[in-house]
Amino acid sequence: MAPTSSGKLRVAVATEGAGGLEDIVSVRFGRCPTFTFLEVENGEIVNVEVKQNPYAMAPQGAGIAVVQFIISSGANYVVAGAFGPNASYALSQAPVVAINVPPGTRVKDVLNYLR
Amino acid sequence: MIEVAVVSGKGGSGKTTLASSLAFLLNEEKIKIVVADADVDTPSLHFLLQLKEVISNLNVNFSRKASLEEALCSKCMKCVYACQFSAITITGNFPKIDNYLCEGCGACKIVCPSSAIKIEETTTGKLTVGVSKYGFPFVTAQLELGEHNSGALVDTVRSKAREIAEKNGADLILIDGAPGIGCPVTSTLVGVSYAIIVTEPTPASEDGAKRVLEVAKHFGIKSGFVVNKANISNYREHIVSALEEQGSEYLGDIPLDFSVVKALSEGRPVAEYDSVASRAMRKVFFRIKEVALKL
Repeated sequence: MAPTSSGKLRVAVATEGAGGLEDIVSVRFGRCPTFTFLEVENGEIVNVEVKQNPYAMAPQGAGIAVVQFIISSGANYVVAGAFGPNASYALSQAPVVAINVPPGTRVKDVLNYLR
Repeated sequence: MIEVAVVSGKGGSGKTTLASSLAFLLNEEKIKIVVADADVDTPSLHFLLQLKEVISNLNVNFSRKASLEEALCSKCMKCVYACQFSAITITGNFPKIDNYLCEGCGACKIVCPSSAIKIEETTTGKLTVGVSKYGFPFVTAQLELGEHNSGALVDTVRSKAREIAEKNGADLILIDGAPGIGCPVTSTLVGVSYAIIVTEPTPASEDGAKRVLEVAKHFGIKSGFVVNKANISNYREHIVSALEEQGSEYLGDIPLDFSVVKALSEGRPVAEYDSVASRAMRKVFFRIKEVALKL
């Protein structure tokens, strides 16, 4: 994990609800119901914020729209169970690192998957 | 609880024919299942699994369309030029919005100086939850004409199926996928444990199967393939080695015989009949049970 200039990392986690740290990471990136944003300082989670995914029910192109949403949020990392083909491509062009985690992973454990 | 999807790439290769028999056989083996039809453009699994009871039948609204209130319209026609989809034309004295072309983006609403345009939610499709005549829960959906929100609707079908499966303590969700490799198929495959690719011995089917296999591999999903109508051409050998080479597991052959035609026209799963095709399906079923249920 490389900290940004402010020393803080912002991690966007695709999630199933508003359970915060206890919530489960969604297997779907583009159509997950919520994103849980973690602020990380010195390897510790210092702030948790849950936002609705505005594109969960997008007509089409949910993945790409969500990538834009994540970039605009200033996240350094984005975590989900799986990323669709279009989202993966868009993320490969973005200054955000995409991390896959196994099904059932809890938000509080995602830092273990960031290297 | 695991989710298994039946896909093919090419349409008409036998996804629904196989999925209906797999559902019938899983149920016969007393495995607790929920069946979901994710082919929302042309759902047809309900013809073979027949609903004996409809629990709910809801409109799903997540499309948006523009509508014009003529009484407020100043006829400036700015909206006609703002529309990037050519959905607004001048008809008579007023702009006229074509519902099929409208994407609901709202550009017309932004440029309208007299607030005559509203963007409203419209029906994307219908979601039906019921019980198959064989006794297991069944979720299906049907996209409205001209709608293109199939990925979102597939996601709704799967969420509903998961909700029922969790409530009932089901062991497996069987998903009958859409043909192709686009939006609805992506939504069908994401997060499943295993993909069954249905092929037929033709070059077109081989190409479709390889394409959908790429999507499965992208998601890191294990897959196996079935050669349906295996007796119709010599291309069988070729397709088996080509797909094995791409990392998919051969699950078996299903020959085409008259029982398949009879089953489809009578609206029943092939596995209910006693025939060569039906016995082959049982063999494939046991192979799938061995591979997929142990994940």
